[in-house]
Amino acid sequence: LTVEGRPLEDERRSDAELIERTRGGEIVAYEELVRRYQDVAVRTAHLFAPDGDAEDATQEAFVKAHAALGRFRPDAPFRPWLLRIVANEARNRRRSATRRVGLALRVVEDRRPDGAAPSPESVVLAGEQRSTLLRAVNGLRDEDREVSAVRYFLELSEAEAATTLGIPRGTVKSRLSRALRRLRDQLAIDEMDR
Amino acid sequence: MTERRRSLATLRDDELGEELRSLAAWIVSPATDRAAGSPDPARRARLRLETGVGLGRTRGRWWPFDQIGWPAGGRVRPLRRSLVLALIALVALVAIVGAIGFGVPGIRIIFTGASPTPSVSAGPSGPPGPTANSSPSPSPTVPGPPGSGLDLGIITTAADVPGLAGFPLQLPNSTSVGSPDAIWYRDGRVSLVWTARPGLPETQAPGIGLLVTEFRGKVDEAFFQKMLGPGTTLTAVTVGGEGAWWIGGEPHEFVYLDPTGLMIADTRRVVGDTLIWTRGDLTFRMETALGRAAAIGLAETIH
Repeated sequence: LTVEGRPLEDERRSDAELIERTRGGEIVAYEELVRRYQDVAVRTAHLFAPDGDAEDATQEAFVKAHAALGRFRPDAPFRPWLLRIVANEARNRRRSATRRVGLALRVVEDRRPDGAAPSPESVVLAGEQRSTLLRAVNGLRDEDREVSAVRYFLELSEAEAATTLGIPRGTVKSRLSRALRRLRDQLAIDEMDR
Repeated sequence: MTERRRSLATLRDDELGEELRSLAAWIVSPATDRAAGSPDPARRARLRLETGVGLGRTRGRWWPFDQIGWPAGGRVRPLRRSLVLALIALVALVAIVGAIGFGVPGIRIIFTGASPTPSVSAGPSGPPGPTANSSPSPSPTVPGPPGSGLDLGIITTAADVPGLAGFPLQLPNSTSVGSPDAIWYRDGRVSLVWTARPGLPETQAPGIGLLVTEFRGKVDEAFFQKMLGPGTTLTAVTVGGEGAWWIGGEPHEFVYLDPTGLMIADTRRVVGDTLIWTRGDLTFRMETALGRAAAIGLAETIH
């Protein structure tokens, strides 16, 4: 049982077991281990490089993580360690800034994710707001967009975000604060243009 | 996200954070784009690790020497990357010289899990986004010569094959099959396509009765045994007295090492039961709905 790739307490031990078995040469154990975090890994790759092939980047990261597993500290959480490798792989695959494609919204917007059916008017307004917000996110600098993505889209904890991004926790805080400020600036410009 | 008009620019940090959390559910998710039955990243990674080849794959090409100093999880420093690439170039050069000198390209073929079928390859509705490693799907509506939509490359002629592929085209000498309706070329692979007709039942690709692919290389049974996905069967057979393999059941993926040592993933969808055999330095891959015995009989006429 996992929630967003986050194992329950009794499964943390299993992570350690699977890592140990992987180090002993059991590649099947490694497949089981990384599959636990596969969905969040693919989402991470997509958020870091929306114009790339997220599954391909994830696969490549899994292979690289296997090679690096000897350097993983057994007492550390595996998920953010793995996501850091995924994030780096995705970054390396990003296109140049001028050719970059941003995150996209799902086309089907006539229903909320919870399945409730809102009024047609509110659908339009909510859709516009989502588009406006995502456009502003896409307009952020890479490091601002990344910190926003891991904290709000992936809902990683501050500690996990720090590991995933490879920066200190304090930097996560300050960078996130700056990202939100810039996001508001961008939103203000966008609202003035309309 | 709340559904009333408000100025997003005036929200406090925590409010804006909540808006962003709500937005996440609306962002296109690449995880939903993978067709059912297609191997997931974990499975693909395992296959690559088990075989020891295809490590360090870059888009479409798998560099087999990835573990040489490639820092996992970190950015590759330019100097280090240059050294690795130089080493790869050196090894590739040695491989080419070896191939020329000894005439053994060392091509291997890997069969992985099932590929997507036409019924699931359409994917969810939504805007264009990153796609998974799903193979191209044939479509009966694709205009052009037979095989269009199968991702076979460029259309060519028998006369042009030697110049493109570096080897002469080999054709079946069978009146029931006749000449191919189309000849395609891509990345060293020549594909011959026959439309479905009486005597050539339709494969899983609409309108296609027979597909034969020819390329330089030889097969490796060890990979067959290890890499077959569930629902796929491998049978050792002979074609003209030489060892060959018949792969039936679920579709499989096709990966091989080219003569320079690069692992090539042929991502097109397999269209039917497959017969693989080698003659000299060429490998032949026949996809058909004829059945094993008829396929072998037809294969023995190809020269």
